Amino acid sequence: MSKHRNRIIFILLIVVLLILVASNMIFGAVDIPASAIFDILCGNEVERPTWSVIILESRIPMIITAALSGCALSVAGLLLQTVFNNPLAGPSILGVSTGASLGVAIIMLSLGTSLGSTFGISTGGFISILAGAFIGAFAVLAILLIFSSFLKSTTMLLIVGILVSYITSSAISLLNFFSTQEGVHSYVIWGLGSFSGVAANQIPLFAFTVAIALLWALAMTKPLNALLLGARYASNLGVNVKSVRNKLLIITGLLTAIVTAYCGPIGFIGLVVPHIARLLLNTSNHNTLLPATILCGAVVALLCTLISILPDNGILPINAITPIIGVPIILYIILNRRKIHYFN
Amino acid sequence: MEILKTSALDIGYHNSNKNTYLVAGNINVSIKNGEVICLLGANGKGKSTLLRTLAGTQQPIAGSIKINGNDIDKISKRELANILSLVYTDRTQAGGLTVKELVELGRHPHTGFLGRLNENDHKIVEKAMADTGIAHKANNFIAELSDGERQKAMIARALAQETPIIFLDEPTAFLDIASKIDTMRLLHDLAQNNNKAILLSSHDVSQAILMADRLWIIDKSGTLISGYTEDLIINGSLSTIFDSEKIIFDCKNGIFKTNDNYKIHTNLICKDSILRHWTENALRRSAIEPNNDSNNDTSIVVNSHNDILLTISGDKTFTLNSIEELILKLKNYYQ
Repeated sequence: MSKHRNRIIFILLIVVLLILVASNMIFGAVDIPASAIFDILCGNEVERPTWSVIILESRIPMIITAALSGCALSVAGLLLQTVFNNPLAGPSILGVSTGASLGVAIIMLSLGTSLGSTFGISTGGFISILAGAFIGAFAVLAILLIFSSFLKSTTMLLIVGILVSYITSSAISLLNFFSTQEGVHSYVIWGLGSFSGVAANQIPLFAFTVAIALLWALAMTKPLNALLLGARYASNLGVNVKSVRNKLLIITGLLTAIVTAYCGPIGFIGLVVPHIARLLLNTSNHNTLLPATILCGAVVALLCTLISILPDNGILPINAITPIIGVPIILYIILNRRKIHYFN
Repeated sequence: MEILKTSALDIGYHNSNKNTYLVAGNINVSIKNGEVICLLGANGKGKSTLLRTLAGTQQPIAGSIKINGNDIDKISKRELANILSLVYTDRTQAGGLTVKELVELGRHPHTGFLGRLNENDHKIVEKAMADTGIAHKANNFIAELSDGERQKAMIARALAQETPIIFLDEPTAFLDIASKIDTMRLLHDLAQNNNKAILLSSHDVSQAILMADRLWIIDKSGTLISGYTEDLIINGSLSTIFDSEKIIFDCKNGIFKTNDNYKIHTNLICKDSILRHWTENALRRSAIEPNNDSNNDTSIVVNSHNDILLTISGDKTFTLNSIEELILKLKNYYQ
């Protein structure tokens, strides 16, 4: 019965995903008829060449970036929630995104204008930003891991995460204060969050790294399920808890760092999407939960993108939209936690 | 057959200054298949430490643990998962799994990289749920279960792991009396019918001595006494659990009780053993000794529960209609 239900949910998610992809293709500052979009996708000539440029160089890269970022952040959130045994963990709430931001800030602001001119960042520049983001994200994860070994209460761990994120934010503010105006400007723009910052020629590298990390996460399904029972039971089931935990944190760091480096620190998606997936499937079993989280992540990110491009006079920052979707869901979960199985 | 054996095992902790804190020392015990062993001891005497050490999750201070003749340090985690399964009282985050999914996790050490279960695995899972009496809840979420049912589900998970040894830390701690008896019965049957070696720690001495073949008692000095249950009861070993003169083990009734200083001595005469037992119970609670010594000049003759004859100081006689009246009379008289 539940297998049948799950299949319907997966099919529905895929349908919604396709609708969102199409909508993001059609809507935008420039009106392009659907028939023209179809022609462009088929490689045919259209009456205005600018349409082709807009679709191929702007809208498609944005759709791919949004979908993959959604998948990546959601999976990062799910892994953190399982590793820390805390359903309210997520890359932004635990400070992992902020850690990545600090890494990026150090690179952007110290190397300053050479990388900073918006959209003109070279591949070499991107790799150093990516490295900065990864080191920053991983440093925060390491701090959390150290604290988690002697803080038994998961609420306390969340508070540590929030504190770490304050310290990191203050470090970023200090960096901004001492940096050049161009550096600060590009950093602030980056910090608003956007899925349209990845150029078409950078998509393959971005997609490849995200895909590798997602596949690695999928390969961890079996130990992830064992971790639901807690470290002691997992260890008794023959799982090398330390090594599995470290691997999961590396995957989380990688996923968060890639997205943060390319799109800025995107909040709420990592926290909320695993809950949406759990509530839809009514399970904590990663066999189905992990693929569902990936799909839901893409759906939610594309929904946010669609809302962000609706105004005629520009694109809204993604971080202005994610809380509007995320906060009501989190409040619903907190208020109903006694009725929600995976909390008990 | 001895499956686990310790020699000169010292258990305890190393603290940050590299000082060792010995919890219990020189433990020489063994575990056999088909046997239920109950580990008893006061709080803080090292029951959980011993279980953790024997399960290989905590390093011993000295001595050795051998499983099937191999040193436990030499056995990999993966192999150990096929030999030994554990049931803790920890609350898990598994509320969002169904009972079946939870029990299936027990197959973890036996399945491949993806954790996919074959037909045989499914059969073992079904059998584990049937054996523990939780099969009717197979599709319920763990969050929906009572404490007793959760415990059964966790035991079913351990069974599905198909290990010859099962350790349980306080398996009956949060259960009501019916679930306690149920769980102990289940463990006993598993040992007898499936030839498992079962070691459990418990606070509940009266349940333990009913169902355990063997007791391990960590006494007040940190020495482990191992023996056949009834032998240990009769030789008085159970009284060594608590470091208090006031608490003694009542060998006849199998319970711990306070060691009273009786102020009043009586001669209780009663033919019916049940009536005698409960009259004694009431008298002892009121610090009155109910011995069978005809030299006492206070005598109680219990003919039935509403016909009690009390003679005080050899001459004053009262007829009483209940045990309550008897106790009241005695208390009033000797006040």
